Amino acid sequence: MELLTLSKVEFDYEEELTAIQSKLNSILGVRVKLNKIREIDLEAFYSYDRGQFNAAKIIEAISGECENYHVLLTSVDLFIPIFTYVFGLAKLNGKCAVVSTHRLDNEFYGLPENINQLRDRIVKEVVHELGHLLGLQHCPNYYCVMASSTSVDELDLKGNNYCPDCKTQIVLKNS
Amino acid sequence: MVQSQIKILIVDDDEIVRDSLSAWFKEDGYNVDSCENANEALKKISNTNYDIYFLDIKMPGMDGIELHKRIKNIYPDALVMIITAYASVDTAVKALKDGAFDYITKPFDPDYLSHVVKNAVKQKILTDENLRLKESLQSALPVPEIIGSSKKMQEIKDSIKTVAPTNTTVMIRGESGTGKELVAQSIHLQSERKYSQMVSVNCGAFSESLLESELFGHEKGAFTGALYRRKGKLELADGGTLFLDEIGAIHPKTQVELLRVIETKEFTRVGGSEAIKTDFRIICATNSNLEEDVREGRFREDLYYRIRVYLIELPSLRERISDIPELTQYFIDKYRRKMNKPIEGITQEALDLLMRKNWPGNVRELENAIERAMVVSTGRELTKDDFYFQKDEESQISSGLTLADIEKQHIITVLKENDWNISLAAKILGVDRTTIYHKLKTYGIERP
Ligand SMILES: [Zn+2]
Ligand SMILES: [Zn+2]
Repeated sequence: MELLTLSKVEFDYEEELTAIQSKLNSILGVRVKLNKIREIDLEAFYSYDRGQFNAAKIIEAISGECENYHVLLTSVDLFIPIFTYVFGLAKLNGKCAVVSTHRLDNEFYGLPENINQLRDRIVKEVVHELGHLLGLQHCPNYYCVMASSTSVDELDLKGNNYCPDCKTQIVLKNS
Repeated sequence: MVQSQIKILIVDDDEIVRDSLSAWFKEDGYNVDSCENANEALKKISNTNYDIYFLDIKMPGMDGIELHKRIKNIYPDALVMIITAYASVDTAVKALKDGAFDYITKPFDPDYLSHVVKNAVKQKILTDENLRLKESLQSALPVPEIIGSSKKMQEIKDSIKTVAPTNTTVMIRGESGTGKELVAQSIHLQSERKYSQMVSVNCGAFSESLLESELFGHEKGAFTGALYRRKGKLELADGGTLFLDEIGAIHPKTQVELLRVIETKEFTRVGGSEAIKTDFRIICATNSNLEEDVREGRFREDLYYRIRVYLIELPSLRERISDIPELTQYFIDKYRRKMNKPIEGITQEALDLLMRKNWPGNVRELENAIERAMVVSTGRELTKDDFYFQKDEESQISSGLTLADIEKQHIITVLKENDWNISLAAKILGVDRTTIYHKLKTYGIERP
């Protein structure tokens, strides 16, 4: 069974995709299929007021074509109406999620580029959003990938895998 | 979980705000309720004592400011957060003077919001007479196992037990790969701070200005390209433990600043003026001779005495060869589970090889060697042939080489085995890339 499909749109790190994919493979222990999604046009989700793209609407738009779990990678800046930004978004128990690299990149904070770190951050975000799709809420364990992180520092602090409690929950919820 | 015992009430006439905020807090495990106007809120309050309130300033009928006053009359300790648009920040600031906990502007900065809520929860726990809340804080994480029963390691384990529950600053000294971070983690998780995180910074991995930003954070516009505020590790370590690895690599200017933080428990972000209070325990680690750095003026003496309150010296693997069998079995078990390979143990011959070998990269190098051997092994036991270095062994041992010669040869062997990939070789040897480059230069090693 393919558990997770990755796709991309306006994604700036194509050359990193294989590495991201194999990292996800070893964490999740499933085959991660790389899918080039039918190029969706992001224009429709752009807010001229905010200068950002509406993550909730993007998820809504792609959910029609999700068969298995699906995470869309992009490099545009994402928001939802009540928040100034989101790193990613997933609907609890849904099928589709979106992850943006925009604020995961050190250069956004005026720091030198660090591609290894960026790759780790992307992987953590994907595993985190997938956790929501699998029915997990945020985890109080600081080192668990399901810990809530609203800054890259918090993202760097946590691990890239589910803690034992979260793993047990995944099994319970999906059996 | 503590969150499920915290009750939040959101009062806002905007359905999107109610729904999104509720969903966000529920995701964090809080107990959330919401309503669209002040009258409804007052009804709910008469039945339930909420812990944290989010009140929109502008609502039809009674506004958030008036509602805030009413709530405070009933529950003087209520933590009230005012929701406002940029246009009415002035009114919100007035509400602060009337005792509101904080205000947040729409759209919310998720990082700020999460910070505010964590503070409110902390406040709640501190003022709460009910100790059950404290006790129900997340269950402790498992303390990492420190492997080895040699006398040296027994002493280390005893030291950890002694110092962990105190708030004392600890310095851990040991060669690279001896497990300094593991010891730090073990101390942290056996202390009262275990409910907060341990934050690690490798001071040797940053240039002076980057280390400053890493530790202290920076404000938007602090330097060219700093488009966004960034929290530093000192802020993240609040309530927990700050682990500073390679402390000897800190530049003089940053040493002064660090000393000030240790003494005042206060700091400002780079480019900022707001004093931020923080409470953390420091554990430092070094693989260099810090006393020499002090004598030669590279490391401040006052800082040195501040951090060297309790010293733990980790032995190199050479000094505890008797632990190698136990360590080997531990790593075999670890990677058997990880790789799902039916490898149960190791032959005596192979174990002898491991016990004879010189391990400049210490336990980390041993672990990497076993991991690699397990990848290539096809049997139920690891054999001598599964270890990449066994071929070179005899020539090295028999020809009476100096330690430096052996190190040189070993580096060349590992580089050859890995197609001269420096990063990979560094990983296997358990040192960083800079060390490898340095050794290449020292020994005049060149790629053929
Ligand atoms: Zn999340
Ligand atoms: Zn978890």
